[in-house]
Amino acid sequence: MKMICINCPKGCELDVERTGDEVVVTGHACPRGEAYGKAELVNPTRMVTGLVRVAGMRKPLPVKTKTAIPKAKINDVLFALAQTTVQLPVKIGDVIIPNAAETGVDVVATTNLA
Amino acid sequence: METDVIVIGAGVVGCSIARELSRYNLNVAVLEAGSDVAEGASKANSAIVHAGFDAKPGTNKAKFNVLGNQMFEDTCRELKVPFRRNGSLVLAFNDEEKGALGDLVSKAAKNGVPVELIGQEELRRREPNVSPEAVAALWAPTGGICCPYELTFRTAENAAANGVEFCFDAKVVSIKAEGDLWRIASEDGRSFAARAVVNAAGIHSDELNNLVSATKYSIEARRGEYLMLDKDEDGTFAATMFQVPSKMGKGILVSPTVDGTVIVGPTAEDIPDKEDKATTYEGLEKVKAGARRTYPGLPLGKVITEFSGLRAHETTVGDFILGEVADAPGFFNAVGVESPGLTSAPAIGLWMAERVAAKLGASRKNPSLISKDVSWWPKTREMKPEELAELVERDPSFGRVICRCEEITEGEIRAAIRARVGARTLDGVKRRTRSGMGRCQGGFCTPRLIEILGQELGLPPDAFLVSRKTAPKQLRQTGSHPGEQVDTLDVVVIGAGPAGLAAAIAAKESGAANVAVIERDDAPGGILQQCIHNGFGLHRFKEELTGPEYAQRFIDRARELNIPLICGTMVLGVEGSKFQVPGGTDHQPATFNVKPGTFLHVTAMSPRGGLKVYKAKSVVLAMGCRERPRGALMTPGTRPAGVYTAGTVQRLVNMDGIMPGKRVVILGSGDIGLIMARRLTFSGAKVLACVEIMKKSSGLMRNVVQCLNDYDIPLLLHHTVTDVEGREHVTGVKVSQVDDDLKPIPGTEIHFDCDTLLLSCGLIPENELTKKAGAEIDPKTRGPRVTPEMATTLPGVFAAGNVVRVYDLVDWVSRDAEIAGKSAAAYAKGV
Repeated sequence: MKMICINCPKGCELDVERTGDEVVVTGHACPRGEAYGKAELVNPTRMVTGLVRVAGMRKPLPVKTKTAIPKAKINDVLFALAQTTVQLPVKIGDVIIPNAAETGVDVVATTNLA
Repeated sequence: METDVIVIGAGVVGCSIARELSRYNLNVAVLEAGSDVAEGASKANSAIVHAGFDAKPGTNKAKFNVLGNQMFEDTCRELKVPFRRNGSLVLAFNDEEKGALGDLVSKAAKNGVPVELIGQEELRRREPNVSPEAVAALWAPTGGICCPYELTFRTAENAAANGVEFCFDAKVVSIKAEGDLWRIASEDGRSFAARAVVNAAGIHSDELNNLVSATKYSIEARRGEYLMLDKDEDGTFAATMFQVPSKMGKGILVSPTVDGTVIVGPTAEDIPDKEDKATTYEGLEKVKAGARRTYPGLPLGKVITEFSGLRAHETTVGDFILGEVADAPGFFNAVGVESPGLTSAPAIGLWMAERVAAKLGASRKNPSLISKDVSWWPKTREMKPEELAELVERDPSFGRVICRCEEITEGEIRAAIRARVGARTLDGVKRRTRSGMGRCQGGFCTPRLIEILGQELGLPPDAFLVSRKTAPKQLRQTGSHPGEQVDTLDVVVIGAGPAGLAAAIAAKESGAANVAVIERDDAPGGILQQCIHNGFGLHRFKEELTGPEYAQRFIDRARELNIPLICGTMVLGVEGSKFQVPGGTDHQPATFNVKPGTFLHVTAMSPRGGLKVYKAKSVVLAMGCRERPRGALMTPGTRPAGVYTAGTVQRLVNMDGIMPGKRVVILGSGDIGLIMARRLTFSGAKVLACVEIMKKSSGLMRNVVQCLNDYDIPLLLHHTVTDVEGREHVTGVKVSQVDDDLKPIPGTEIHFDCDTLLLSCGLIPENELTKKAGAEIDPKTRGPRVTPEMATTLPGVFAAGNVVRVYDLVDWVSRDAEIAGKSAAAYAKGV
C-alpha cells in the first residue's frame, strides 16, 4: 500500500506491505517514517488540535490531544470539544478534558489565557 | 418626513446639489437606496477631472465639464480633499489617429479648452515610459485627478453640517404629485414629502423620471472594468494617458491617482443588468491589452485589485438631461450624467440649486451662517513627526495603526464612523480612510475593523461580514506594553514573531547588553498565535508543538533574559544618522549612513507611548510576510463579502471566535489553505473543494494527506476560479479547468454553491520598512539582499525570517534568525 508520510515536510512516499504477521515499510528516510507506515496500516492515528469555548468571552482557547488518537475517534473528540466551556485562567499544558472520548488521551491547553 | 427639497441619490452629483441647496434657506433631505454615499458610479470610475476637449461642443456635457473643471480647485480646497492638475495626454499611434487629434484640437477651441499638439520627441521627454509606438499627442494642461469617493463623502459631510438630512437604505419605489407636494415612498415602507424633488439617481434616474413624466428616457448600464497597480508604480506617468476616443467612450487610460497608485482602464460594454458590477476574464484581458498599447511595460505582478463601475448612459438624448421636467413642475432631473459627470458635479450642483431655489422662492443664507465643516480628521500618515507625537499624546488612538499597508490608525477609523455621514460598513470605512485599500487588501485589518465597527455601532463584529456594503442593523484594552524607557540600545528587533524573538534571544546570548523587540500586534508570537495546529518544532525541539506552544518557548526565554517585548507599537521608519555622504547611491541614499559611534534611529508609534525614537547600534528586520490578496490574482466576478485570504479566516476562527461561513471553496493549495480546510471542517463547515491552478499542490504533501484526503475534500488540480457570484455576499463560484498556458478552457465549468471563498495563493515578504530605509531588494525573493551573516545592504541593518524569503518551516526561520541576531550583536559591539 502506497502512502505519504505526514511526519515532516519531506513527505516521503512509503510502500507498506503486510507479509504474514510482519509489516514491512520501504521508502522511509527515518525511523519515524517506518513507525508511521506501520501504524497507518494497523491503527492510523492523528493528533487533534481544536478550540473550546471560554466562559464569558468570544475568544476561544486552542487545545490539542496530548498524543495522537485513533483516526476513527476524531469526531468523538471534536464532539467533546464542542461540549466544553472552560473558566480562565488557563496555562499551557493544563488538562481541559481528561481521557477525551474514552481514548485514554487528555486534551490540554496550548496557550496561556488569563 | 416633510421637507422643502428631496434629492434622490447620494452620489457625487446628488451630494453636490444637496450641498449647494444647503446654502439657501431650505430644508433638504437626501434619499439613498444604498447604505452609504458614493455607492454607484461615484465609487468606481477613472477619478479623472477631464479638461473638456472631448465633449461635443454645445452640449451640456461640454458646458458643465468646462465649468466644473474650473471649479475643481476651489471645491477641493474647501472640502479638504486631494486634487492635482497633472494634465492629460491623448496619444496617437498612426497617421489616422494623428488626424483625430486635429479634430480634438478644433473641438477644444470651440469648448474653450487650452490644448497643444506635441511630437514624439517631446512626448518621450515628458513621459519616458510611454510606448515608442506613440507618434504624437494632444496635451491638455487643465486635466486633473482627484479622489471621487473622498470628494463625495466630504461634500455630504459639509451638506450635513449645514442641515441636510441623509436617509440611507431608502430605495424609492413611488413618486406622486399631490397638490403642491411630491409624495415619495421607499421600498421599506417609509414615506416622504417635499415641495421639490431632484432626481440624481444615476443609473436608475431614467426609472424615476419615467414615474412622473410622459417624456420617457432609457439608461443603459455601460460597464467599465479597471485594474489598480501598487504604489511602487507611482511616478510611471506624470499625466493621465488617454488614447484617441471612440463612440463608446474615452478608451483605455493609464493614469496616476492622488493616492499614489496607478489606475488602468476602463472597458466599455453595454450590459442588460444595472447592478452587474462583476469583472470578467475577457474584460480584464481587454484592459491589459489596451493598457499595453500605451504602457508596454505594464507589470501584472503589481496589480493590487480590479473592479468595475457602471456609467449611466442615456440612449435617447445622449447628453446630460438637466432641469425641471416640463410636465412635472417641481421635479428636476439630473439624468444620464455619465462621464464627464464627476468633473461636472460641482457645476451641476451650483446650477441645479439656483433653479430649485428660484422655483421655491428661497433666499440665500447669510454667508456667516454657512458652516465650512467637513468633519476633517488628521491623516497620521501625512503628518510631521512633531505634530503626530502631539496628537498621539492627546488621543492615543491615533497611535494605534490598524491598516499597516496604508498606515491608517484607529483614531482615523473611529472618526470616519463617528462623522455626520459616518461609515456603517467595511466598504464605508475603507473608502473614508483607505484602510484595506493597500496591497494586502484588508487581509490583516478586517478582523480589527469589524471589531471597531461593532464597538462604535453597538453590534457584534461578525454582523459586518454579511455584506461589505449594506449596513447591518468601549475601546478594547489594547494590552499594549507601556514601553520600557530605553533610549539607546545595542540591538532593536522589529517584529516579535518567531524570527524576531529568536534573533533577539541570540543577540542577547551572544553579548549584546541592551536588546528590545518592537511588535505591532497587541501580543508577541506573530502569526504563530493563530496557527493552533501541530507540526512545529520537530527539528529544534524534537517534538510536535502547536504554533502558540512554539512561540511561548521563545517568549519565555526572552522574558528570562529580560528582553523587553514592546507590543502594540508600530515602527514607522528606520534611518541612519542624518549625516550627508556625498555620492549616495539609489540603494543607499545619502542620508543613510552610520559612522562609528553613531546610532540608527527607529521611529515607532503606540497609543500609550506616543511617537518615540529608539536609537540602536544595530537593527534586525523581522516583519514577516503577508498573503497574496484576491486583487493580485485577477479573479473575475463580483466583489461581495465572503472572500477572504486563508490567514484572515485563520485569525477570525482561531483567535476571534468568528466562523465566516458554512460552505467553503478554497482557491490555491498553499499550506494555510490546506490547514484551514481541516480547521473549517472541524468547526462544522463543509469544504467543497480545494482548487489549484498548477499541476501539483503548492502546499506540503503531508498537509494534502492530513487536511484534505483524511476528510475526503477534493483537490482539483489544473483548475481555477473563473467567476465569483453574489452581490452582497458570495453565493457561488465557477471553477474551470485550465490549459498549459493556464488559460481557462471553455466548457469545463463546474459550479459550486458556497458562501465563502478562501484564497491561499502564496505569501509575499513584507518589506515596506526595508524599502523605505533604502535596503536593496532581491527581485526573486522579494526580500532584502542578505549576506550569509543576514546583513542587508544597509550598514547595521540585518534581516530575519519571512521578511527575507518565504520559509516553509519555522525551525529554519528561527535557525537563520539566530544568525541575524548574532551578527547584529557583533556589529553593535564594533560600533
